[in-house]
Amino acid sequence: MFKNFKTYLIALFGFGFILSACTENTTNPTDNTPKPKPSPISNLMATSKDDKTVILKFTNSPSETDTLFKDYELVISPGTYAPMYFPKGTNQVTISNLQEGIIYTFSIAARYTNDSVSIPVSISWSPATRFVKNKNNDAIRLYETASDFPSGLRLFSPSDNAPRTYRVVDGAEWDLGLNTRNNKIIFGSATKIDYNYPTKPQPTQVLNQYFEADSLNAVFDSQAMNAGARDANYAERTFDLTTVNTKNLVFYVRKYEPGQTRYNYAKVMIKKNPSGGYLFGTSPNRYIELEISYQSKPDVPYAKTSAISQNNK
Amino acid sequence: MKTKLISIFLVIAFLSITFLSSDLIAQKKSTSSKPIKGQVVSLNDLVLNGKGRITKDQAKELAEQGNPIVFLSGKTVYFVYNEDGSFAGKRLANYANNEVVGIVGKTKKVNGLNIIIASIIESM
Repeated sequence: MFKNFKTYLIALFGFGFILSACTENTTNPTDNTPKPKPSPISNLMATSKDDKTVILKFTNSPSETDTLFKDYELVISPGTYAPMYFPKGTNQVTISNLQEGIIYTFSIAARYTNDSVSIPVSISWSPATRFVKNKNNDAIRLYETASDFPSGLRLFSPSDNAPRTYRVVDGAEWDLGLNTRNNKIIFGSATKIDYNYPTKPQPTQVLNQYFEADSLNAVFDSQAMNAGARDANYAERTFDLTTVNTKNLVFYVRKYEPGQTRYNYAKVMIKKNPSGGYLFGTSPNRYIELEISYQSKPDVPYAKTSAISQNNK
Repeated sequence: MKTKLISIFLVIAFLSITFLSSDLIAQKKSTSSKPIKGQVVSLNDLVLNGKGRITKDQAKELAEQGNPIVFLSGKTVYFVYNEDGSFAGKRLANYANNEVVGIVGKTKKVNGLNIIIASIIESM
């Protein structure tokens, strides 16, 4: 009897196990199957269009070819910006209504119609004031050494709320300057330009490399103007523009404004003359023409640090 | 009678400006690469009050109303024209806040009026 009862229990347990196993398989057959997930965008870069606008550029997600692909989602912080959505094929986005001096984080993720989202790719950036004209509503020009017109530039004059040019007699106001002696076109830190200043100019540092571009809007960057090794590559220096003749040239510049102990950053673009070289006009009043993107808040090199995450592979 | 006088004055003024413009192009001009230095002034204020200095905003408003904005260098008043032959009063008005303005261009005297055809206007 006991032996039969034990056999009965084993049989009952075995039957119950089979039943439970069968039940589990039939109620949740796909729980462990992961949903397809889109690949992220790559090469996210930014540039400051003006004091309220930033332009983002990126390489599209490879998942755009998938039938599940839905769109891109852009999230902006800090602030109360609603997420923005862009259709596939979008690789450049202009974001307006921002505030200069605030470092924003822009995060873009690709989305599928099955609600799965790629890991977002982010960049930190800040808008900056763009100057294409001086306080007199004319082009910003620095004149050759032989001219009586100004050869020195102050990046930002608070009283004019714009860049301002000065002659050698006002050398103390110079940040950058132009010298065309000896058949050269020397542009750079005023302190490194050979003029007989009554008072020495303010030290202004220039990055050791310049960038060629069709316009300032085309100077996208993926990192801060002082990120990584760049920070050590700023110095008071000059460049000879007779050694290049390609496109517009963009220089990264920084300086302490009076009374400040943190740098203000700027991008200075020298326009190329379509006829060749970088000088316009006729001697002895030839000139270079500039556009300036100036960050009015100290210590905001557009992007504070290299805050890019593109490692979703 | 008054209306007739005003009409005659306007016709003479128009003809003077027309001949002046054509003369600017036709006559021989003096050119210097050195800027003429001076200040932007209102001709009306100069004539009526002996000063002429105005702010940029005032100058722009006056220029918009058709009042002449001119260039005072020492004791010489210049009427400034653009190279395309148009009167440069509105352009000049933008420089009214500058203490010293330099102009490079062709200068000439037409019927007693001093003229500059400006190729460069710049603060100094």
